[in-house]
Amino acid sequence: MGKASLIMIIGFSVIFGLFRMNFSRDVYDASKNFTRYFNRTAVHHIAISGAEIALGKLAETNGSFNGTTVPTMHGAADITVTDYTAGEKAYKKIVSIASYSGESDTVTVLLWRQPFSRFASFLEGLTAYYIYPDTIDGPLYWHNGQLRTRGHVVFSAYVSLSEPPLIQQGDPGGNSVAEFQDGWTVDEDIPIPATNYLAVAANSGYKVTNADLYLKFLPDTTVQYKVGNGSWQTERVTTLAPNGVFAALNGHDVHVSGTAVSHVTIFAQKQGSSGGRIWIDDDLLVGPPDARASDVKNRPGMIGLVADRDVIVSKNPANNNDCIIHAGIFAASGTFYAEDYDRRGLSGTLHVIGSIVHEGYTGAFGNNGQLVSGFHELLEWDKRFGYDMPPFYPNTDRLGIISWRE
Amino acid sequence: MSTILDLIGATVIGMLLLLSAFRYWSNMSEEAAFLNQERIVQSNVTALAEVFEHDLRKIGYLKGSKLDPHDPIIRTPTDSTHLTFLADLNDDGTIDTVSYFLGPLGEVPWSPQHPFRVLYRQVKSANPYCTSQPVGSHLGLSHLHFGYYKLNGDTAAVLGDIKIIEVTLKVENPYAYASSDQRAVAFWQQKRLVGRNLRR
Repeated sequence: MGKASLIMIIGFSVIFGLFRMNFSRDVYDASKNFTRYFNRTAVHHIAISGAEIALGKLAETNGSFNGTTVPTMHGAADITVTDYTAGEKAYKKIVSIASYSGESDTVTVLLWRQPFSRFASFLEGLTAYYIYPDTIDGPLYWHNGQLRTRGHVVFSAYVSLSEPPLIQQGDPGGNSVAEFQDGWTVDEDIPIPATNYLAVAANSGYKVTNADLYLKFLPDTTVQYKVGNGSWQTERVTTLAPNGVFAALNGHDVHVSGTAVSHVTIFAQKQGSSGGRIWIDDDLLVGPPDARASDVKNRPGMIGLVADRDVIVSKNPANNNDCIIHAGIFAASGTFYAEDYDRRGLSGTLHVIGSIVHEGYTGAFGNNGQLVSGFHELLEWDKRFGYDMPPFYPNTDRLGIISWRE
Repeated sequence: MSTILDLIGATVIGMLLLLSAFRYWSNMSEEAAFLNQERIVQSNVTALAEVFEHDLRKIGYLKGSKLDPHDPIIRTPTDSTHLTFLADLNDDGTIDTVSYFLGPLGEVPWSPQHPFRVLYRQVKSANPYCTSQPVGSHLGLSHLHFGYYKLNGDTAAVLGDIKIIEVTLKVENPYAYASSDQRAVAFWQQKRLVGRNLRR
């Protein structure tokens, strides 16, 4: 009887032991699976943290951060930052390699020094309202003045401000408020840079130094050009200005119109109080005149207008009934405006597909809110400016993310 | 007489002991099977989660450049079981079109309580070494839901408003334990900010 009991107890122990082993194995495998997933998630977050830390350091050091190893979350992120250029574009590449509990992961971020065309509209020193149904379909920079909104104004992209906006209720319904779809931030001012470097770039482009320059781009890849009172000549754009820069230096102006099918930048340099203005004498296009922003996306042409002073829509018969401009407009110390905007009579619509730095007056309104002179204005941001730019277009001091790979 | 009573008593006690042992054995077997199911389901949901994470992390990514913001990067707004987006998955500078969708009911045995579906992943790539055929996986997926949100958390009904994608998965073991129709179940849900490569 004693032996039988002993055999029975040992037998049961063996059977239950086997069960216990199976249980333990299942529990161990389940927890191992979970642990592995946790480790992979953790190492991924460490890699992201490394990239975010690098972005913060680059902002703190104005782009001079080269990388380091950061211990974080019981792991480590090995960060490297490298510079390289492609043409006139300057890039920085952040590589964050994380390690944690035997796992590793990499996040790569590509940044570029953002051009001013990154903003649909770049405004300084203005306090004014957007009201329903205004829609601002591109990044907006509004500093040294207060952005005010009334009603359901839609900002579809990033908004940079120097102080919080004044958001008031309004239409539709009387209690609607502005919608910032990509948020807004209060950040530091972006200084307007010197444009002297464009005079240097014009050494590899086309420049005049003793008279105004007249340009008319043609869709057959050529440009008609005239210097001062000289005669018109025709040349291929890439032959005349291999790097795409056309410049009137030493205090002269540029007059421009036509259809461009390559990347070009037109520059007017001031000298004292003379010159430095770009006059738009007729439509200036990269696509068909009736194009909208989405229609120019596959066009090979891209135009930059960089003036030390003003960019002006000329008062002439060609511009008396609508004017269409497909360009990034940069009026360094002046504004973009219509000549005699308050005395030219009704001139139709000024349709800009591009970007404007320092927008000025293009029309005058009567007491009843009706346009009495100048243009109705329609501004659309050329979304290609989010990742491309005209040659040697002025850069901001900000780095922007081009791509983020996890 | 007392010997007979001893034998009867021992037999009854022995039978009770054996009955308890069998009952214990049965419970243990069921529990062991269920634990094993849990392990498989956990493993399946982790595998699915890692596939989704791998691809969704790259929404809108293009090596060395930026996807044209004129092109909608997410192609199937408001479709809760079909997601198509653009991404340079293999980091070769070409845009791939990535789709996730469910196969029809009936592809795998199902019941109304457990509507198992095959999950298909399709990558249309310029890379000739990538197949453009949908690749299906039956890992016990019984629920899949894509949610699309604005930055402020409101539901996005318009393509351009989508800044966040939410993925919800429910995975069950296709093989229930016979006596109780009890199945191991695992959920996975993640809200992913897709704005890193979409921001303009």
